[in-house]
Amino acid sequence: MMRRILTYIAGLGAATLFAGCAVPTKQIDYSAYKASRPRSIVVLPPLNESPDINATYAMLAQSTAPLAESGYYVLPVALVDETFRQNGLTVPGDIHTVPVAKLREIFGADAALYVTVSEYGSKYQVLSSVTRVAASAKLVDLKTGDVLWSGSAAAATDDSGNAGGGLVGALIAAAVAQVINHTVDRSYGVAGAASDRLLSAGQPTGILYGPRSPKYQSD
Amino acid sequence: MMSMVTLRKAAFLSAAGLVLAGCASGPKPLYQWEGYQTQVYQYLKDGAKEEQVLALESGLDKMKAKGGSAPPGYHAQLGMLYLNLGKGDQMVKEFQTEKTLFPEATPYMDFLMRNVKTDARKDVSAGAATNAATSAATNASTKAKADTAEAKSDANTGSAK
Repeated sequence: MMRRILTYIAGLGAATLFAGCAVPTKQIDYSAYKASRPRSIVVLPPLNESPDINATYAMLAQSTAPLAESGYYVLPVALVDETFRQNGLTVPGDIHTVPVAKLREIFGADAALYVTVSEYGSKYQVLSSVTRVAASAKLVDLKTGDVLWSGSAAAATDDSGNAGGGLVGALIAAAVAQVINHTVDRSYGVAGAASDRLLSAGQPTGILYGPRSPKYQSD
Repeated sequence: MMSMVTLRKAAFLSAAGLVLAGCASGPKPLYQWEGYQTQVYQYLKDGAKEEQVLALESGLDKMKAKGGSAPPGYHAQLGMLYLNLGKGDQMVKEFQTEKTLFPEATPYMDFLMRNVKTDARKDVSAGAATNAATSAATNASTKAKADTAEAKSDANTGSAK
């Protein structure tokens, strides 16, 4: 009994304080999203509008973590890329035009994520260089073709060390540090932060939590 | 009395913990990622390499040690690398593990295994990889990873076109 009361109080306190720090000014219509409730997501190789050819694969490699930590099953991105190649689709622009019914037939996923990278790489300025990655994305229901959600985000090296802002921030920050230490490349690390911002649930206009998250249907 | 104090403390700490989770860092991650993203990136850039297999295998050991869960795609990625190295049996095992951990993966894993099996009727593993290597030359992309690509594609029933 005592335990239950205390648990209740603790929960209430947390809820109150929590309400204080996030101002949910959602302007996105989540009704289609909530009706669809996708469990699995296939991430298509991102369109790249930047001059750096690494952008597509960097974003693709970095897209799984925030989505999975938000509670979704994410189809293995490298295998998905391979399947497209086998079918003669090597250009993201072509891949993004494949009919949703076909995507559903092959991958058996509930939804597809279409990502566009608009900026990727380092710009050398007078006194310093800034590495910046910006991207937008839309989540599409593969049964109906409806757009469930869309959003955009950016990250740059001159941002503070606080890489995420999203719920996987700490996780990604660690990954970023690791990657930089292993000298893969700087933009790849920044792509991780951008992907985290773009694709983490628990943000005002972000994606919703998926079925594998303890917070599923809490948003 | 003792237990009440402890409980109260626990309640306070849990409240504090939740607040922190809400505002600043995240809750405990669902998965232990190890080098998954980096290994995927390396694969996408340079094709399959033995080092990637070793990295993912040692990641699995670390998960076992810490009691963490493999993230979505981890076992599937490892399975594909095994196929590239001519270890088709191990590929099947990894794809099955992916399905067991994530039933959502079932349609796609089955699709992939169907294609590999029909392609390499005689030998799922080595034969497929060798055949693939030959035909890979015709592929515009002659990365090492084309092995898998061809092995899976030749018998593709569902073309994405």
